Amino acid sequence: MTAALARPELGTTVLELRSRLAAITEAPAIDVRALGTGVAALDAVLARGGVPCGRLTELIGARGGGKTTLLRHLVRATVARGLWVAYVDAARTLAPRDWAAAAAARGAEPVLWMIRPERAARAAWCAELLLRSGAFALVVLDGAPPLASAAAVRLARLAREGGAAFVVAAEDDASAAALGGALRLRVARGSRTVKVTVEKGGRRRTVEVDHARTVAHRVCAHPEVPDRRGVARPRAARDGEHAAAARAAAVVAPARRERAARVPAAAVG
Amino acid sequence: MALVDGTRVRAVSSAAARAGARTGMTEQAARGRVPAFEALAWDAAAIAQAITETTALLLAASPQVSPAPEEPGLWWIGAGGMSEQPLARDLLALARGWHPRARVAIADSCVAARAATWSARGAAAHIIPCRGDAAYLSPAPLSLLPMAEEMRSTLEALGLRTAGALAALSSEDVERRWGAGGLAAWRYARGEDARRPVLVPVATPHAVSAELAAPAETMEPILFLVRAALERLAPALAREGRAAAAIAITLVLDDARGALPTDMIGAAAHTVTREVRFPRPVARAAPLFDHCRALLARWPLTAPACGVTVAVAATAPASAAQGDLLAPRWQDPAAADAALARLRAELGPRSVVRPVALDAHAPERAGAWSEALYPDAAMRAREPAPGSEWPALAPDGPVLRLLEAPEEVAMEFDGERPCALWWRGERITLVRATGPERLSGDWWSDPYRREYWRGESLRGEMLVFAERGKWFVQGWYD
Repeated sequence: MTAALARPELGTTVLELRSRLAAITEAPAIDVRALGTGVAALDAVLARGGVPCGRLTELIGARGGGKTTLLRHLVRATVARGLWVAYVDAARTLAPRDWAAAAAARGAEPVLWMIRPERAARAAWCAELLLRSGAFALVVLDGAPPLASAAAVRLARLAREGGAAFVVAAEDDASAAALGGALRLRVARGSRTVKVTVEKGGRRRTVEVDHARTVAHRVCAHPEVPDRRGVARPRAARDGEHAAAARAAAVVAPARRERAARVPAAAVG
Repeated sequence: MALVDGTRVRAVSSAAARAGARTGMTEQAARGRVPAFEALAWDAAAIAQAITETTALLLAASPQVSPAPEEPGLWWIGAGGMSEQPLARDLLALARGWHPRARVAIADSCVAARAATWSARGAAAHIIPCRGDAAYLSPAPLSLLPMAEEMRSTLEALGLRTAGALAALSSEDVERRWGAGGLAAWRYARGEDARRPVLVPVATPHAVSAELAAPAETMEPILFLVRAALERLAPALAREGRAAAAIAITLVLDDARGALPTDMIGAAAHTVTREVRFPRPVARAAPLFDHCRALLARWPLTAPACGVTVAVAATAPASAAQGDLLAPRWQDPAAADAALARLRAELGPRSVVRPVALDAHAPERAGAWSEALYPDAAMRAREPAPGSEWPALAPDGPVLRLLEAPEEVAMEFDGERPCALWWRGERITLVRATGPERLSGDWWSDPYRREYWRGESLRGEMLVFAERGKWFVQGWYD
């Protein structure tokens, strides 16, 4: 092989082949060391450019702080790469409508599974089984009782062996204290944003993630007229109706117009 | 007219059958029923010669032709990989050169194909659609299924006259009453037939049996035996290029039935068999064991078990998923299936689910958790139409967390607007409340009429509603 490369004509051929192979294999270079969170500004400040694979990640924040919104970004980004996700909803409070779009991202191919144990105490066992299978790229443990140190170590070891990103969402520091995760994100509620602070596993920065605010499509000010709705219609058919409703709201209840806002993009603070 | 072998009738013409003559009768009994009974001697050599000639004839249509043993006049013919319509036409043309009323049927299983040749519904050539054997057999009479005469008569005495009625019985009950033979008949009724119309070398059956040193009252010792059995079976299957599509586990129960004298009813040991079918064929021990473990987890032992048999009930060609050299990681579907099956077994129904959006407005009705791998037609019909802008599917909004049932709260007001609520013994001040959004609907089934508000507090945004003068918290945005 060395002799062949020394000959100019053969060397050119090998170089050509190499460049052609590179052209084929260059396209999307996927970093298997981390899963993107779906928020570019956050990925930019994380050590590996995302949630690390084979490691435990702690996501801490009070109820209503925005943990689940951030988790949905992460799940959607993972599913979009064709990787499988298992989400243990120990509190059994997730609403299916918010996750249907993520689950359907790959068509009929099932890529997102929700595990909803009757007893929250079994959630850690569920996560253990899922991590042990080695089939899921991302396993989320959400709303489980605080993990004991031994259990956390065991789960972290299984995540390392299976190469899965393992995310534990907890409400308080006490729940997360024993975990010893490679990455710790603290989530807090801002004014129409979710503030994510990287406490471990990246540059210590706070990233504000804006999210769209869904509002009522029709506001009926008359106390006796209920807002009867039919089946979903295409966007064009509803736009005129929304405009009419907005005009009515402007006349009848100006204070309510502020809800019709959709906040874009993300900003780094 | 009939063919008589010694004193017994071996075959009867259709005219003799209409008059009441049956195979298996003595010649004397047949003559008693049919006055103009004409008996011809059973000529085994001539029949064997005819079978050989016809087999050679049929080989022109398919390379896999096997005369059915003990059933002269019936052939199993391999149709795999061939166009079914032309094959049926060719076979019929060939067979009609030999018999004017020959019939041909093509099915997934031998039992369904044979039933289709005898069924009055079928034309001379009948093709049962792929995976349609069970549905086809459902209205078929029991006489078209191979089973012991005693079992058939008992079932008919019980009013069970069709294959569908037999298939609807519990396998455990059938096995308890009729043993392994009954279980085989039950499987035939479900269109599951291991017989194949090919001449295959006689191989050892894929089954491993073991006895426990002492009767076990829990599944733990059995799990060890099952794991060991699967570790032997999986490589054996892989060597043959096959994968397990179903595993049957038979437990021998120590409930003293086996100690009875052999001439008594039920003298055989009490065995219970259950099967696990896999979403995709597997030839590796670890996922097979996880599936079997899930099966055993929901199997209550009615008596101590003293033995176990693990058998491969169905196989399929081993076909590994095509990998990608450049893929970042390989996801093992069999491992995922096994883990999810175990979770389902341990956690019970509605625990391993997929989210599905539904065409409804009330938050708790705008989505559902689907247990099916793929949503069924009924679920799909309730999904939002493609292209519709659906508020529930807004991908960037805050995520709603719903309580399993709305919880009643006490609400305080500033004028007409809610300003604070008491929930779970805590007063939550609402910095801002937006609403009302009035929702009503489902008057045809479960009517509701609510006034929704979103209350922003320092601890997050709550979703509350008023209905019939009471206020409820339904969830919060997180």
